[in-house]
Amino acid sequence: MKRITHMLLIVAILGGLFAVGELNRRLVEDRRQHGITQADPLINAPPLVVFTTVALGGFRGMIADILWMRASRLQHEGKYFELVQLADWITKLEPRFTEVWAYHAWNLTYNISVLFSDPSDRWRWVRHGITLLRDEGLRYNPDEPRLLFELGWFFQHKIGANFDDAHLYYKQAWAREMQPLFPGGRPDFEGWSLDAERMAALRSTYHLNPERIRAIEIRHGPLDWRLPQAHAIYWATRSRDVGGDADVLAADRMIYQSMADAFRRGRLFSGADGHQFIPSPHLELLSYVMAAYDAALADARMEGTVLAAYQFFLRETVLLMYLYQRMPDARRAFARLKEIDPELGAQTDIMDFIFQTYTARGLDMNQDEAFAAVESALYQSLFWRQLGDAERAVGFEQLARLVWNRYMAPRLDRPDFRERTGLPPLETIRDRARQRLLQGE
Amino acid sequence: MHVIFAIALLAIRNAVRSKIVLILLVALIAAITLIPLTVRGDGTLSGLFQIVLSYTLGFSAFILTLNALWAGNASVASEISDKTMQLVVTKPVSRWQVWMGKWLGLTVMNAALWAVCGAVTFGMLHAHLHLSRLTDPAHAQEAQRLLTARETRLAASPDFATLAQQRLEQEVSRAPLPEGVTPGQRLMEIEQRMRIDALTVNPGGSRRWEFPKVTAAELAEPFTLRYRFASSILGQGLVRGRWLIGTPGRTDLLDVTRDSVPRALNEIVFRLDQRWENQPLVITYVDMDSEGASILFDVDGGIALLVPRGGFTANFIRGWLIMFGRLAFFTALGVTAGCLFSLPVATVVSLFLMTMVQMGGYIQDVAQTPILLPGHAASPEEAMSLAAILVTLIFKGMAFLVSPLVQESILTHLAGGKLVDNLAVVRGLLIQGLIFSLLMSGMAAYAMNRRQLALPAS
Repeated sequence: MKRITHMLLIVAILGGLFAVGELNRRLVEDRRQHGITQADPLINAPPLVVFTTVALGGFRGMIADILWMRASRLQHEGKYFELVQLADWITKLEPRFTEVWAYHAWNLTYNISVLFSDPSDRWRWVRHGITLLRDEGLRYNPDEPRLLFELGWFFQHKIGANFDDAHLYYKQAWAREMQPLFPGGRPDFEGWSLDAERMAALRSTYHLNPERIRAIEIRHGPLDWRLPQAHAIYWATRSRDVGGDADVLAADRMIYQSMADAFRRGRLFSGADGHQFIPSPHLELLSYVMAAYDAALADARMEGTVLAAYQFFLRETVLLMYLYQRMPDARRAFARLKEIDPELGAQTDIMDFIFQTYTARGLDMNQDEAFAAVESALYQSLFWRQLGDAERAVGFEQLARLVWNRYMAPRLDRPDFRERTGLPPLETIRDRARQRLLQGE
Repeated sequence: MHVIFAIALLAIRNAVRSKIVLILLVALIAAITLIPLTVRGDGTLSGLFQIVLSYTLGFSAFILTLNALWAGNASVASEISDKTMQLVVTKPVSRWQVWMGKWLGLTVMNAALWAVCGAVTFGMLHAHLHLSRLTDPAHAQEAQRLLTARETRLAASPDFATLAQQRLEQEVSRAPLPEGVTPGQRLMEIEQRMRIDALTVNPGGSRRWEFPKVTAAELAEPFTLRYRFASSILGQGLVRGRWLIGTPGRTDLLDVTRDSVPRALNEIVFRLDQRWENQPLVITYVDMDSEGASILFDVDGGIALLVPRGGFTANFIRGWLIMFGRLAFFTALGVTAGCLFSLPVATVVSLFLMTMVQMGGYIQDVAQTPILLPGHAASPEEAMSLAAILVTLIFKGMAFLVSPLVQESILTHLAGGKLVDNLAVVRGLLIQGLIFSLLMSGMAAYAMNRRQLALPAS
């Protein structure tokens, strides 16, 4: 009798558990429909995360606080060895709290990386932040636009821009890492489909979807996927696809800014020794960049910010295209500039504009402009030398030297500034120009 | 004596039979085997070494502390409640012998468990280093560095208090202090100014520190100069400076130019030779920053010299011994609480006291800071209401009580390769492991003598 009672009780408990499970599913669905749940329950999460989010209940907040305080103290004391682990635990305790993921990834990538003087140490911490967000944060929040945007931002700003002293190291390290997946910087759709290992690396390690890459290539042009700009665009498009209005705006901004960056320095040139990585202008992207800007401009919500950015881009582009002897493209950019910049008189001649722009910005160029100015002058020099016009070739050579010397002069006594914003030696840039010429660009 | 041993044996036997102790032991085994496999370092050998060491030993110590408290509580309190204690106390056994027997038994059991934890952690650390050396020979140097204990030495510092007093007397002799400024305030200002001046280096300027004499034995291993500073240019990436390392006779025997990161801990590793034997070490910093930044070295010591002082094994054993002293103390605390209270109350009291002891450093910090209670007080003086004074007094009292038990984190020392000196070992074992335990045994014996142990169940 006793045994039967026990059996009945066990069956009743199991039945109750099943009923509660079913009821919970319906409750979750109702909460989702009425918008009163901040995050859906985690599905297929590892046991550790299920344990921390369910079993610890209200205590997990307290544990997260303690870990957070410990992380702050250790960071202040300069003890960084534990921070990756603490960030991992804190985020696992609050896996659906996107701010927590964003904060810790940002902290590792931005705040801690700059506390090291060695570029390889810095890069390790930048990678920790990217990995935390990409491999863990997006795993639990796959369609969270904020996290997708943050990841894109790391590529656009931390790696792609030149605000960090070690930005060149980051670019080189990322390019080296991407080289096997993107030989020569280009997507290898056929190769990927035949090589399961590379496909697995693409999908599982870097969380890149070949179909999305193909779509980006069609819409935004032939990007060099060894460079961070392409990856910023990738994650921005993902954020755009799942985000609300504000996210779409932010993602669109990231896309056209990254496109413009890719145009300015979106071609990777390996130096003569085979080890150097020097980004230079990717002139074939002009139409795509203009299309991206035009699409953003068409969005009434963005007009104020995008208009100024577009005007600035076109001003740079006219000069750049002229320097690279691409007059049709220079004229096209100039015509569009005149359309969107009422201050530029309709009668202004393109040559007058080029002259004014070049002299006005002569001493105030940024690193990309200076590189382009030197390289284009050397390109012209080589070009005219090939045609037998030595006098003209020497003139452009002198111009290149002049720009290089003037640009580098304030950097010669400041090694850190030179390291961050300086130009490669003139010979290296000449190699690049020669390569361009030989390739018939 | 054999009475104490008999009770000790009984205490061990009872503890082993306890389900909670068994659960804690399972947690202990899980901690020492799983933690090293699951933790994530910062991607460096040194990071992995430090995290495995501090997490494995830290978790083990925490679980053993809980074990010590619980087993100590239960060894007396539950025996009193289930009346088995009557079998002991009706025999010619004094109360202090009961206490001592329980404490000894549980301390021996904890010592054995702690020895296992120490040995397993030590073995795993060496296995990590060995494997890393096999996979990457470049790690050999790093492994060697991790296996060296280093003593932190600070430069000789002037007596700022006396110097400030002298400066104040000079000022007062020349002219009276401005109205509203007390001599105490002015003295504090002068002393702070002097301390800051001693740590500031202006563009093109230099600052010199003198460290104690270097012995011949110390010359074999490399020295490390560790420093942290702030730059007067906010957000500055790297600051260039020149470090001259020498002797009082010749200050520039070594000349190192280095770009350092503001706010971060920067290190320079260098070797010394016979020229430094029995000579004070003189270090000079010359600010060479091209952006014209002034720098302020960290007020907590400015710069420190890490001097090799023996191997990791001896350091590990010393750290292990100090932590064992702590464990013996918590065992004594558990047994004493068990003598004084019923099991639930003893558990709560023990956990509270354990938390207080573990947070001793924090309590001391709070006690030294003026406590301002929320309100609309315009000044600290106004805010010192009666309630605030009371809270301050409570914290000061707690800080006084825990002060002998507050110690620097041994795990941080071991993980960071800092020397754990013999004096700290003696202090840890003697004060925590013995003196406090004996004091508690007296208190517990007194309480047990006053307590009626064979009351009928209500």
